[in-house]
Amino acid sequence: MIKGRFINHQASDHVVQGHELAERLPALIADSKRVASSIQHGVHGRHKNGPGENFWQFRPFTAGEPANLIDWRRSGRDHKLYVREREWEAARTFWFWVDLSPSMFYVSDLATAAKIDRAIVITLALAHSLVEAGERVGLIGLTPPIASRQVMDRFAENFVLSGKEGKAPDLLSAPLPRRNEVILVSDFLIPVEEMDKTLSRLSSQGAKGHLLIIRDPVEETLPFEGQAILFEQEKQISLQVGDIAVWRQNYLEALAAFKKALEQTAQNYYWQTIEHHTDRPASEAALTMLTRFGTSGSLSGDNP
Amino acid sequence: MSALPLIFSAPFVLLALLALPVIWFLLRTVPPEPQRIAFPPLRIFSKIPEKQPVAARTPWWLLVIRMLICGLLVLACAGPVWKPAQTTPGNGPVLILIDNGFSSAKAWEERVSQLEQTVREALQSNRLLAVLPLGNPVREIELQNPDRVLASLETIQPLPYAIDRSAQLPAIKEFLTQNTNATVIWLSDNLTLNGSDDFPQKLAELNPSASLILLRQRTTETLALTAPDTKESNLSVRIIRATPDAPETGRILASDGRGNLITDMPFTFTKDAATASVTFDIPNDLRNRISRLAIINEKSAGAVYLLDSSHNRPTIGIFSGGSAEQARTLLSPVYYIKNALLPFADIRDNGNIDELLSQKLDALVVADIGELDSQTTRQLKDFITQGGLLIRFAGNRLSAGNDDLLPVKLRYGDRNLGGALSWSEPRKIAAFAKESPFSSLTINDDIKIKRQVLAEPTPTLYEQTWAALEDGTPLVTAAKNGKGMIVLYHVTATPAWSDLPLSGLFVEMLRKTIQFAKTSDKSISDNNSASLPPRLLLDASGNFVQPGATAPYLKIPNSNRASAESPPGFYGPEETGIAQNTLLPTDNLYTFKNIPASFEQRQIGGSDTRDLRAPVLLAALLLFLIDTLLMLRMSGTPLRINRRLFKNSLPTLLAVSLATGMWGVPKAQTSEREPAALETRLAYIITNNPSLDATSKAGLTGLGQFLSLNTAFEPAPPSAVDPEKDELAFYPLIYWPISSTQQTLSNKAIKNLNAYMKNGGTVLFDTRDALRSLGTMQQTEETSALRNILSQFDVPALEPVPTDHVLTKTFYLLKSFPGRYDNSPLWAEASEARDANDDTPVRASDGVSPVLVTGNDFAAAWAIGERNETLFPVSGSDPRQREMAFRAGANIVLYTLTGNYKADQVHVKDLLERMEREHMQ
Repeated sequence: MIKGRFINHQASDHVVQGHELAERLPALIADSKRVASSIQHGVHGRHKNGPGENFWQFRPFTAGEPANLIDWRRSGRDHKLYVREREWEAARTFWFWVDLSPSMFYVSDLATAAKIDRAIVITLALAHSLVEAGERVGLIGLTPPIASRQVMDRFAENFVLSGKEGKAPDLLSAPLPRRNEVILVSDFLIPVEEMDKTLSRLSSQGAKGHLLIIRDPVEETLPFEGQAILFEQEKQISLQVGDIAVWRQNYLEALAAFKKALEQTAQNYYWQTIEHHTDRPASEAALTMLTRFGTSGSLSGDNP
Repeated sequence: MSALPLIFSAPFVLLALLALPVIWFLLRTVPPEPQRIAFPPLRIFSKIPEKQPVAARTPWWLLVIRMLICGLLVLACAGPVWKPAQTTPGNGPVLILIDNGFSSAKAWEERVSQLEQTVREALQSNRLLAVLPLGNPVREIELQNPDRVLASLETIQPLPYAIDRSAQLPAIKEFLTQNTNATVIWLSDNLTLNGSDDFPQKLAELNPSASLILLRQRTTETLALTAPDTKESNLSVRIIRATPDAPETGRILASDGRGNLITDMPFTFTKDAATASVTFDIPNDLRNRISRLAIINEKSAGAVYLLDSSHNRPTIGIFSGGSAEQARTLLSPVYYIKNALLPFADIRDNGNIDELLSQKLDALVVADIGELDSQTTRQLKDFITQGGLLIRFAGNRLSAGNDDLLPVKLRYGDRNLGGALSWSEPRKIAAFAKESPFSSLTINDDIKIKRQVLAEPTPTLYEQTWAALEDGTPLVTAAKNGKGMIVLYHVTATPAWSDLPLSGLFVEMLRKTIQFAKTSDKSISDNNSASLPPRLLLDASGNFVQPGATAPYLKIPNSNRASAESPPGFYGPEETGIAQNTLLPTDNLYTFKNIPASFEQRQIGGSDTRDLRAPVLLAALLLFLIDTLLMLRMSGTPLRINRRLFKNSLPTLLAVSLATGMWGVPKAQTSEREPAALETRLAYIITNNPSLDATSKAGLTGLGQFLSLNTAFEPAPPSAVDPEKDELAFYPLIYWPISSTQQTLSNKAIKNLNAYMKNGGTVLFDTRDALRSLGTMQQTEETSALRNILSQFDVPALEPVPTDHVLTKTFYLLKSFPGRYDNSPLWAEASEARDANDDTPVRASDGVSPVLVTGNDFAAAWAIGERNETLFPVSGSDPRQREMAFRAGANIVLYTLTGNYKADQVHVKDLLERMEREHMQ
């Protein structure tokens, strides 16, 4: 019999929940470092010349340019003057937001980690990787963008703080600079209309971004049988079902419709969705995200 | 009792039914708990419709089912019995009469359980009880407490003979006068051997006021077996039954004294017939072995018939005149008479005439005795007057002078027909007269009588003649003498005087003659007051049991039925003992007729009585199954059988069961080598030296090919054997190349090889060192390895094969046994030294040498490759050395296969010469 449970004892008490999260954070950080090291792919260039440290190309010297641009070593090989151009390395800013609602604390027998753990691990790993790559990362409503190597610790502290408050900062109230990338990590078990409102607000601030949907496998498959009472703590809902096997069909249909609507909503604002199930390794989602950053980054560079 | 024919053996358990309402309450108020599942997505999916209603309470029908299950369990525990056995009426003491004769053995268990039931009932109602087995010795009837009776029930056993119920009537009468209010229950088998047995009537008259109950089986199925009739040449038996209820058909098993089955015969009753008969139409010697006949599935002493020796064979003594004749079997009359009589009689032919006569003979055959001394004559006369049969054969001595123990007076001398000094031709036998006992026999025309003794013509001669020659001279005469008879054959019992002893007619005539021998009651006449000790007795079920210490001796003569004084079985020594049977040949089975109306008749066991526990429990189990299925259905688990799973798992299941099946079958040959027993093949010992093993294999293959081409022996491909693991018995010859790296043998291997050699196998050791040992006195490593091995075996003394050894002649004529090298001799078991003047070309020796040793590397010389090419060069200068090596191999193999057969053959010349010499003489 598969069982699902909430990892905290009193899931309704958000403060306790936060404390417990704080207790687990060192382990999560260690986990994140492992994930980060496995997805490290270095500084990602912009594939154009600009201010940066890496060599991009030599180009013939045009009159009028400052002479200190001339690369004398290269120019010495033949009788022309060359200018060494470097690749443009502009730091981008990534804003993370991690959902701390009680449903994120759910873990089932089929999963390898609770949703919240997985969300934090991926967030920290991504943040670390991005900082390593020279980007700046921040937590919406909690920290300004930072590029410090201690980004994991800094984020962790903030998770602890907000965890102790019992909920994540309000997405809608926090101001966002334009043209930043936003990564929302949640199970997105909220009505699509609310989501639409949030995305509309964020997009109106000029943010582009990604929805990292974290789900427990149980939520996807409902692998139960027989008579049962399903309950949900956050809103204190319970539902008595005569036969889950019969009910499952309806549920799976509804879930598919919901996922489609969510994806459509994101698409409307040019946001991307990535779905991650907690029975899969964290590095999988993190790597996908990083690849997406690369492509979307270049896109954002092109299309203001 | 209640109107409903249902009682409970433990009615107090029914109190547990009071608990049912509590169970009802519990079941009703505690519905099955649904599982609680935390499920976060519910907060947006709570509106999904739910098709099935939720059971808030246990549905009423489920409750009913469960209450039913509980109720049925309680009922089952209470032990319900449908139509229980009827109870014993009255309240006085109870007298139970039990038939315990042979006819009640078949359904004894039923009877005993009925008895036990009745006794238990009496125990409950505190009634005193007396149990009287009707076959037991008459004794005063004592009332006992039912619990004591219950404890002694085991001692009541059926008896293997018919019982006399009426003998108990006085005792019963006395009992009934003392206990006037007694209830009498008669557990009857309803069978009697006396058609007018009025025991029930008499029982009813004893005390008209006592209540009588007759308890008996519904049907009377007992069969019994009587009266084998051996007067005819075939054994026939009678099967009797009392009522047509008994089985119509069956089989009779005939077995011998050791219990070996000889034959079985089916029998069938014609409709309503009380008897059926079966004839065993089997050869005489088989028939004579039969000592026990039994009806299959009829467990009763009455269905067994024992045959003692009186039923089949007369005991006949043979006495012959000359003791010198004993030495030459074919010249002895005893030989002919004995062989002619053996199928029909037990023969005593050792000892002098006194000893023979002391052995209770039925007949005495005396061959060629002239005059007997007066004491013997007197003994013989006594023997004959007491009913003995004396058969005499003529001969030289008889013709020279005779006594008066003859049926007719003989002339002095004999008549010679067709001899050198006679004009007459040998005579044939004339057709037998109608009065003659031989009249049914047919005469072969080729029987010629050359000599005979002649009878003095007397007026009674014709009547005394059983057989005569064509010219009317008697050949067999007979005369009554007292109770007995004297029969004279006017010829010898050897072929010297006639062809008669060589013909089948002789056998038949003797057989007819010995019919006049007294049969049976032979021991009776001797000592009238004798009694024989029991050897094997029958129990009531018809099985043999060893007689107990108190088993009575059988008084003889005895022509009664078996009884307490003479229980059925074998008495006396095995050969001359007699059998006492349960029934007389004339017995019939009857049922009691006209049972008085004062008997209340009931059936034993009351076959209507049903123990309802099993059906009730079964019903509970079924309901439980239904309940389980319903529960599964309610909790939503789908009930459909997963077809795919079934389909997928079926082959697996089959495979698993097959695999387990195979596991159980021991493998015949654990090694991967071919099974050796199917074909004859040569073998070599695995040395674990790959090149050596390959050479051995190639060598034996080459030799096998040579043998197939040149001899009648076509060996299968050679086997590699490991003396430790493999069975060696299949191989005539095992080739064993010795290498310097030869490992020491395990004890098991040594034991195996020793057994192999002792039982006729031959091991050919090849040290392959002939070339290296040439010219050195030093032992090669192989030789020392060989010595090492041989020291562990039981090896006879060896010698180099001498030129006249049979090995040199078994197929080819050989002088030496070369292999790849030709300088090593072949060693074999040393044969005995011969006489210097023995000029036969070969030594005669028995058996095959278990060990052959050579150093010539045979296998290398024989070895052939895949294209039949030779693999190794041979060393010698002789271009035919390889051919000779093959010939040596062929000789060795044939030697192991045929042994000293060639050695015998070399005597053929001598034998022929000797025969010629004798012929000349």
